[in-house]
Amino acid sequence: MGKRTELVFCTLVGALLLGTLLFGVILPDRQSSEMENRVLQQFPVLSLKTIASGDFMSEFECYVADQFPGRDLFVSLKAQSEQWQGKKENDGVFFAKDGYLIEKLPTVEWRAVNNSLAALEDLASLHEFSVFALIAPTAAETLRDELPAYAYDDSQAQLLDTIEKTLTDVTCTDVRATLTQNRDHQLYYRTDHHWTTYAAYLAYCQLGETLGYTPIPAEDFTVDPVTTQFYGTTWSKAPIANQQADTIEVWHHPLQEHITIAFSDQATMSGLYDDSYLSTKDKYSVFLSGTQPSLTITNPDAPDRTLVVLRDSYANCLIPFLTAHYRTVAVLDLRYYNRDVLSFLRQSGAQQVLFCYNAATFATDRNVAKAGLID
Amino acid sequence: MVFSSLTFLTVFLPVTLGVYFLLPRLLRNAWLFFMSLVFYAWGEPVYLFLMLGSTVFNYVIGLLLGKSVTARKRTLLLVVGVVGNLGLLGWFKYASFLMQNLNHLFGFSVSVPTVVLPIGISFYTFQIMSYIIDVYRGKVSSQRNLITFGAYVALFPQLIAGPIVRYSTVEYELSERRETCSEAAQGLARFCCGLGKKVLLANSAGALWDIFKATPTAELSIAGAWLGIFAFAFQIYFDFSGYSDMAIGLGKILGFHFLENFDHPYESKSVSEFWRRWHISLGTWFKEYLYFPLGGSRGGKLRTVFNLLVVWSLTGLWHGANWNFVWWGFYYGVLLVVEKLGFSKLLVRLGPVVGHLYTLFAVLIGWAIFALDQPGTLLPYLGVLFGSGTAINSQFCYQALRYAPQLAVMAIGCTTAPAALFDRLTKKRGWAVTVASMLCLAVCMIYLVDSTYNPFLYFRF
Repeated sequence: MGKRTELVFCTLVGALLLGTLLFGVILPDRQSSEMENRVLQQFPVLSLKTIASGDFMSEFECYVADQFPGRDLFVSLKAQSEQWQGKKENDGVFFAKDGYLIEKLPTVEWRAVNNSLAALEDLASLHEFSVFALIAPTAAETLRDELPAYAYDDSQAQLLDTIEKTLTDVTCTDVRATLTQNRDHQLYYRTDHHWTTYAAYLAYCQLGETLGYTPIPAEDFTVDPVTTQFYGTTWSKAPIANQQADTIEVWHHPLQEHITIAFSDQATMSGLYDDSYLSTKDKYSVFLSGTQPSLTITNPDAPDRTLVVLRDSYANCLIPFLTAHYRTVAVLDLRYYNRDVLSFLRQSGAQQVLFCYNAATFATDRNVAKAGLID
Repeated sequence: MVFSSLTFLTVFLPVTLGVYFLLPRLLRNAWLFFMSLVFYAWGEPVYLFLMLGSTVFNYVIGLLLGKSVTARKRTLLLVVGVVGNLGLLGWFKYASFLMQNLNHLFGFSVSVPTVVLPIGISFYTFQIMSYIIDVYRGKVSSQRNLITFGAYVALFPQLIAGPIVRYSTVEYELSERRETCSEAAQGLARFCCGLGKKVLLANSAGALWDIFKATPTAELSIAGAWLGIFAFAFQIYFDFSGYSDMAIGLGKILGFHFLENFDHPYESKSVSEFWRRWHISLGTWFKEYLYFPLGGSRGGKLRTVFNLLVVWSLTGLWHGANWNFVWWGFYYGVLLVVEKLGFSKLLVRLGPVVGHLYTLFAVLIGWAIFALDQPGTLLPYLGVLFGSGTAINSQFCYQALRYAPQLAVMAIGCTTAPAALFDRLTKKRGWAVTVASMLCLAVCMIYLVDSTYNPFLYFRF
């Protein structure tokens, strides 16, 4: 290299590294990252103890990385670079066809699954309530044709088949065929691991046969696209540029006009939708106000029946459809509910209990087993 | 601390180099020593004192050796030095392994407290021993300045993962080096290249190997098993040679000229050639300080075979306190013996293609022995490699398609072609090297931001 090039080179590298250091020092520290949905590392405590244990150093390294100037941009660039290299997936999310970002399946934890199924069967065998289960397939199973070549993993199909076979006292609803037949509609979000409101509607229709109600025809609903700029969980893992955003639909019906919700922390809400979430990144939480340990939905315009739903977030866009048929719907999230589930069920006066999960959560969930703690 | 981390790149390096070049020449070794200690203590806060103690101990031995004249005194000092150093290494790295085997063999049930292995102990112990032995042999004069000696021992570019720099290589440069802009530029380019090898290639190859390593043998296809071993071969090469590149590059910036540690080993046409091109500083060390003292090849065929097998088993053991490493070393010892006894002449006659294929095959099988260190995993995996399983499955197809472009880049990266291109460009189109290095550095930083934690494969050293 010529003398001048050498000097320029050294200066540029020096400027890049020193500049990054200075930017990092000057720019104020961020408390949390909306994109990563977590709190970011702050400057660690500096003491002889933390140095001797090495905690200061490891936290400092996290601090440098978490507070790196332009962090979100770089994470996005890396995901984009992986896609350009034809790498087919990034951080556990497939770059699927038609602009879909599909979450890879977790490894099924069979011990947890068997415990969950046993708990459900135990509950049903009491014959105090009718127990129902809906374990919904995720995009990696239903949209298997959109996945990159050879990426399909049949472990979820096997899981769902096992659930069907194992549950005897529990009435199991398998929506796989219904969803597959309606693949011409958008059943899952492109940027999020949840299913769309339309897919939930199809499941709601199929549930009518077992729960005992006549599903309301689709034409009777007013479909309201509450946002067209939804970038969900799978996009957080693979934040490529030029990703088509998702639209979240809310289906309104006259029977839902007088609904109120009471949350576990004594707060109340009128209606089923929490619009405050629409201005945040986590727009899916517009349904039933997202993650809640427990809530009770009261619909004075519905027949006098009570339903208890033990669920994960997939159920949040399904439950609104059910509220037209039950005066009281009590909803529990077993991750956060640690009291005795059986007494809750007895106190609620419910005749029907519905377990509604998606298969990916169910494959590793250890909380459903709480429902089976019967003395 | 590791080179491939944001803290090193954006905090440690600018501060260390910035102050280094602002300081008057007299203070530079002291600063280097100090910052190297910070670098070491960063990963190993308490063992810093171990390293300092070892430095002082060897400094004293070196001085005494320099002053003593009687052969008996010198030999005594040498023995004390070597035993002291090896003893420390033995305790921290091998005590537990040794005890487990003695327990197994004799039915004892002595338990050895689990000691955390200090980082770099294998490297700096060998490095220090090269100093002691060379002073004993009269090859170098003892270093009187403790700071300068400390800088040699702790020098952060090669403290953690080599190359093992013999004192004679840098004796002059420790006190008389001159840093130049030209060397700094070359060093930076080399550093960026090494960083790219580590962050962009090695980590990727490692992720691919991890997939196959974690798959139960029953679900592995033959093609998949081979793809896995290729991935590991790429990982360890780019990891280790990348780290050596970074060490050599950093050394150059500071005015040091370390010897090359890797010379495109996968291009070798025989196993003997492979070991002249892979981890050269280790092979050299064992040859100089163990093989030759044992007699080398001067004691007749039988003695030579014995020497080779002992040296290579110990070379294997150096890599880790586990039997699979010993077998790995022994495996190569056997191949080297066979080649020495006439096979290499046959290879030359059979032509370069046969030589390449034979070497690649031998090396890949060697890597399987090296990588599968959990008991009970090696033999099943070897079984699949040699045909027990389906030929191809969807796991293989998906991963092969997924990594195909990168694997092609890695394969090219193992040849001398990129280095030759780099040399040509450096002479004729320096700006291209500048742009490529900057781009590489930027992309690496992007990838490092994405993955906060990025351990080096050889980190147990």
